[in-house]
Amino acid sequence: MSHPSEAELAAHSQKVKKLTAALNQILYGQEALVDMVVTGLLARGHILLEGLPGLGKTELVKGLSKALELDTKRVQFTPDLLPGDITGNPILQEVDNRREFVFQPGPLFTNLCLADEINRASPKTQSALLEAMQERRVTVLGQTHTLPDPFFVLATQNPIELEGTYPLPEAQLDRFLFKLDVHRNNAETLEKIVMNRELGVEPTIDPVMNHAELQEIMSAVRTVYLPDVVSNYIARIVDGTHPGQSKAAAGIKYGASPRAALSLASAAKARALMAGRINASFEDVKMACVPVLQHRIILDYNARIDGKTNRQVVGELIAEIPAQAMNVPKTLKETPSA
Amino acid sequence: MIRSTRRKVNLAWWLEMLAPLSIGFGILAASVLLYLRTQIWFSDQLMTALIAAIGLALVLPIVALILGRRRFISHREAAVRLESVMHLNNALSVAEDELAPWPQPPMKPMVRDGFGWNWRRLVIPPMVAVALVAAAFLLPVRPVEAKIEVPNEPIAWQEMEEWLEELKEEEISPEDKIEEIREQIENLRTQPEDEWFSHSSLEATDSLRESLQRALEQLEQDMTTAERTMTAMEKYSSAMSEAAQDQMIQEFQDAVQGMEFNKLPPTPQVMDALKQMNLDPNQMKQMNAQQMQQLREQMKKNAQALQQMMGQGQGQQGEWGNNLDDEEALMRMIHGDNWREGMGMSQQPGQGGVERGRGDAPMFHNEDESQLGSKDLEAVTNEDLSRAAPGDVLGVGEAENNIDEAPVQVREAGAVGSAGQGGETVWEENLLPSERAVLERYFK
Repeated sequence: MSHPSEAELAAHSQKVKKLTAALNQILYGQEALVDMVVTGLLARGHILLEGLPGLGKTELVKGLSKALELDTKRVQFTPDLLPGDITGNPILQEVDNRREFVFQPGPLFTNLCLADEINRASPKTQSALLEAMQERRVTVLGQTHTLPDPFFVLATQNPIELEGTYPLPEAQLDRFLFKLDVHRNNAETLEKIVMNRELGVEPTIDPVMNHAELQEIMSAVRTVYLPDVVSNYIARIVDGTHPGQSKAAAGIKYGASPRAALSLASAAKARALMAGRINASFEDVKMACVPVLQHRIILDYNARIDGKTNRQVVGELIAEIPAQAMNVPKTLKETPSA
Repeated sequence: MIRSTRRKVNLAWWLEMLAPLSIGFGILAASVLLYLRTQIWFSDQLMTALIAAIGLALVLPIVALILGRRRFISHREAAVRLESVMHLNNALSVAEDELAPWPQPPMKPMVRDGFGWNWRRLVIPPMVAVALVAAAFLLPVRPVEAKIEVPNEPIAWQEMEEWLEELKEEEISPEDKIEEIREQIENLRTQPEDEWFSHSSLEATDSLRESLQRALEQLEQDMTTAERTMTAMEKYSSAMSEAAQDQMIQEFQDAVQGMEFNKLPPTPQVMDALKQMNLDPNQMKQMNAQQMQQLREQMKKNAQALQQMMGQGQGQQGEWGNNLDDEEALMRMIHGDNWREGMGMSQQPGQGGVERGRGDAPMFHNEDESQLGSKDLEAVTNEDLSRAAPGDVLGVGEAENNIDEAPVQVREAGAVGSAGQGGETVWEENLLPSERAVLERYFK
């Protein structure tokens, strides 16, 4: 596989930086979130956003679609939402003086699908989304319809008001590249929001890159060099999520799958490209660990009783597993790096 | 920087392998040194031991290197370590793979590999080794004394065999008698070796030795007596009184009889000659002077040999056979060292002779004690008093004290209320019956 040149990387990096800058103009005080969302997009992954209402999750998705000139559809998941409502349904229509079923694409047939409060939909509807997320196609009445490329699902869920909701199954959770926590803004950010926003008025954003450029960048991400030591690091981290493989995994009931390792690798490459580097690095992997792994591990009862969160456990795992698997003689000791 | 990191880590591995080896070397060296110091010859071999220790100490680093090599890190691993600690985003690995240029080294020349030396781990093992070796040098150790060759058999057996051999060489006693004693020694020797020094075996050895020694001493005394009496009768019988002559003859006969019945008698030839010897002055004139001379010399020689065997002095030969002109010299010859001026022919105190002399009995008022060979003290115990022989522990008894139960009364001065008891103890316990009778008769 040929790797991109430094010039290409620099050009791509510049464009991505413009994109993130543009998005930061829409969403104040969420630079890290924007960064990870763009990373997820470049890594061709779906993203689950979890946060309280009104934090700008929908605005982010809208801004993203405008900046990238992507088609966006929003689906508000409710308990009565049917699978056909999102995938599409065949409609009986008269075509050429004949009555036949014509497939009407659902809101999934878009580039950017915002699935609001995904945990409020029934498992049946959730599973319909699952195929689309994984296969990037839907099958209705035996007919398979390919979804547009690129296709991203940005799902949101509310951490409160869990009554009457259907937690996402692990299989579907595993298909999200990232799970990002959207935190509330501080006072300074709120002031800025108040100063620059009006209720009901959508912020404007100019397109930063078109579809072709985005595809080019996404293709370049795949060619970013992944050193073997970084691959080894990814493997050891994912392996460390399983019970008995590390001290941090003491409270984990089920660990991450190989899909998590692939996700980590893709995310690390995306971050490397965003930084203009030809190679993914340990630091990129560390940055991507929490969003990639926190929704893929299941804590056991004791850990939950102790009040541990998935995020904490992943943090302990990163601290425990060294970037380099090297036996250090006892005549040396680790010193804090400057 | 990568190379220095690699050297540092590999050096740390080498020291890690060397640490237990140095402790093991210290323990081994201390143990060997302690052992060697217990040997007398060690002081001569000190340099050799030191060279061997130095050689072994030089081998240890090589062994540590061989053991640690498989853990050494490569250039790539050192690069990864650096880029990980310095947050270089794996730039060194990419440069190693020739996909990107080498990054610029940091401004500060100090290598930041994230490793520091664990000084406790580095210093303690060699210090322990040095301390062990120093302790082995400084601990007071007493060298094991050279082993003394312990005879395989009791010394008394060899001593007795030497006596018997001497008897045989000097032809003092007949061989059959000597062999009898040898057989007894051989019987002791045929016991199992672990019983040679048992109590019973040693008692038997002591008993045999004592009886043999007594026999030899008695033989020596009898031969000396025989020789003396023969010389006295041959040369000075005319100057002796008849009683003295009889005494001499009796002593000669007693000596001959003693020799005959000794465990180790003289040879049959000597014995026959002695029996045929008649010291009667009238009979002596008819005897062969040369034979007598030879017999006397034989006796003298045998007595001297026996005295040397027993470790006694040169004996009391002196020049008593050469310069005797008068009865005093004869008296000296007869009485030997016990002679005192005024002593008569008889050796009984205070009897006979014109000059009665002091009448000292033998062994009384003498400057030197008689050599009776009884200096050995032997403790005798007898646990079974019912079998106690006279002279052994006679017994232990309990008896009431002699308490005077006579009432004590005070009367006029000089008067005695009652006669106390105890006065009769004087003649009751200390006087012979005849003496007691005399005193009773006298005081009644």
